[in-house]
Amino acid sequence: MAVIVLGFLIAGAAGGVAYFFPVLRAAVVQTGHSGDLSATPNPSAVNNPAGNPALGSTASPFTVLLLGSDDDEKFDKNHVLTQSMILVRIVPQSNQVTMLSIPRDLWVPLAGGGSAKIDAAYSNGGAKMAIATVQRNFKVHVDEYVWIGLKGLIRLIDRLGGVDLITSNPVLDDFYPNDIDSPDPYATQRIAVLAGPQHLDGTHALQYVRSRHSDLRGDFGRSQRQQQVLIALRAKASRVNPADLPDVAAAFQGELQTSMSLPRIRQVLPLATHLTIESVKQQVLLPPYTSSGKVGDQDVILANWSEILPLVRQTFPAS
Amino acid sequence: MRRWSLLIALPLMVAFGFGVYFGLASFKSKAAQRAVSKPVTKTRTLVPLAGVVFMAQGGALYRLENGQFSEIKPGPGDWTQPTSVPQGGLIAVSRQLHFSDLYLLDGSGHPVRQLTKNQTNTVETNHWAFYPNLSPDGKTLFYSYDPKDLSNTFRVDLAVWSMPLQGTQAQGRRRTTPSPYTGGDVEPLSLSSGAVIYTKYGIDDAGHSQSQIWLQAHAGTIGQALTEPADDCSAPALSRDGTRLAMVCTNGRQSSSLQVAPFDGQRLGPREVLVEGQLAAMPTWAPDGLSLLYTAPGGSNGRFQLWLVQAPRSTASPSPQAAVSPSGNPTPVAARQPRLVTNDLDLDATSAPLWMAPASS
Repeated sequence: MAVIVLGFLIAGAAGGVAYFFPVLRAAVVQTGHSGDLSATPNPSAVNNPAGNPALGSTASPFTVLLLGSDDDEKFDKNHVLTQSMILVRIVPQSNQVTMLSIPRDLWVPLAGGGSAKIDAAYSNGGAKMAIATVQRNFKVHVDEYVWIGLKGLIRLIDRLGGVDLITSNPVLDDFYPNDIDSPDPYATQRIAVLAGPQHLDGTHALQYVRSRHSDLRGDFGRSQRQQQVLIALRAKASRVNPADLPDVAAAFQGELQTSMSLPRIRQVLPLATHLTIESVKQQVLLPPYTSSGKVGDQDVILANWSEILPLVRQTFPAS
Repeated sequence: MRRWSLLIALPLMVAFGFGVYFGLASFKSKAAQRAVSKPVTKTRTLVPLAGVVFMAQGGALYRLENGQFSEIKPGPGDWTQPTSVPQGGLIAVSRQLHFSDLYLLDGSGHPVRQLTKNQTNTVETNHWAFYPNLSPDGKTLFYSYDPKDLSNTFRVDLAVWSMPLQGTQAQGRRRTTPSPYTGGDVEPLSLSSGAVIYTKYGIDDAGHSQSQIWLQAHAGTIGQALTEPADDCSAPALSRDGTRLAMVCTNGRQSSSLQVAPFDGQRLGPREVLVEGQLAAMPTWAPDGLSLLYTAPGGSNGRFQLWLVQAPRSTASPSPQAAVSPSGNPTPVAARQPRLVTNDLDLDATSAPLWMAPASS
């Protein structure tokens, strides 16, 4: 009798493990990457006597660097540019979130030496250099990072059933990269994401956040759209439950890396249900924080640090 | 005996393991599930609608009459944005990968004529045509079209164009001048006076994209704004008698409100909020002017459905002081409860429903 009961227990456990296998695999492969997070002390983890910056109490505010990358055939798999860099400050006590988009063409000294557009930091040294470059230039401490590739974003949105949002204006582009699962990574296509409330699948959401050719604000307009989709994703994520996690984890297939450990993710997820759109403050470094310029033959964005740093200090603790 | 018990229990254990697996899967949230793919033609409306309603979903047009849906798929491409033709039939957009064209369809949805030819062999020289609208006399077709900017190939903005319905695209004329690199001018509505109402996109000094309802009395003139930039209004819909304008306003937020204002052909009166707190999109008037259809998420799958709300009667007069209506403080929501019309559709929310009177009226 005991053998039969044990057999049922093992069979049930096997069914559970099989169901959550994608989550377990993602937890092993994609979470807990350290990046450069141990390089600097964490002033925000005051409630964390262990001093482990990646495992602060959920009561402690923390800063996440979101990195979104090209990951098509144009680049070596380990040397991709970041299309998007967003610093996110989360204050769990007040359920407040601040998002600061960093222009990809911002000309900065890289942590590894030399100067370049900030999107090259990840290409040159992965998350470690991207974090160190942001920390050095913006004088902030980054507690966690999340990197996601373009295909990962498409799959994530599709696995969540798409996103509902109000697209701010018609997004039209005659030279949009046709580099996702395309035989020619330099091919282009025309896109037209019409304006107004609508449901977007992963492919069209990516078009909305990635296009920048026909936007007066260039990369800044794209940054605003990226923040809109992030907020819409948060709304969608707040409605999923643990049984959805295998599908979500399977969506990434190597397209996501994060410093966050599973316990940290488990602590952070419930915050999504308490956040409201009104509690999300969005910041984009338009003039006077930045200006257009040229370095050699490159069109770049030049930082006005005397304006940027006071703005950043209002929200993000210094390193 | 013990061996027999184990032999019997073994398949039960395996079944139990599978049961746990599929039992866990049954707890998946609806939010993460793909849209229910129930055929539109098998769905039923929750509220009866008099007349005929056309709508777009998944690249096909659907005709709703007497509670029954029928599919219209006149040819290749994704079909969307149907509009009525006074003489009978429809005009709709057929969208393909790099271009879209306008087609005149007969009452059964069969193509009668291709009105625009926007396909070329070079990707970036294709064109878009969206938001068709016929003048009240049925002679002039208005639409949004992307002329090429020869001085900068990266610029793609939609402008309002017009062409004779019985003519060719070569006779098309640009009606508006869009603000550069904003997305442009869309959703034209032609008035019997010859004026055009449309949505104009712009970018303010702080870098925020904003839309305004705009009125252009004559071709080639700048025209005037009917709403403030900060109101972020779009999707204008004029009642059949031309005295009330419905629109969707967001105030730059990720939430929209459906509003209606009296209109005298030149000015808007005070706006009244009918629906708030939804992602309300694309209002369209009932033929009798007593209610409005619009799309918003809802129903069993959470996707965009048809909703119905009672319309205010035309009582207030437009403000005589200014062309721009007193905005920012529209009248709060009246006691109007929107009603869900469909439960399990997945409508194209960028395509306004088209509501036509019964054939006999």
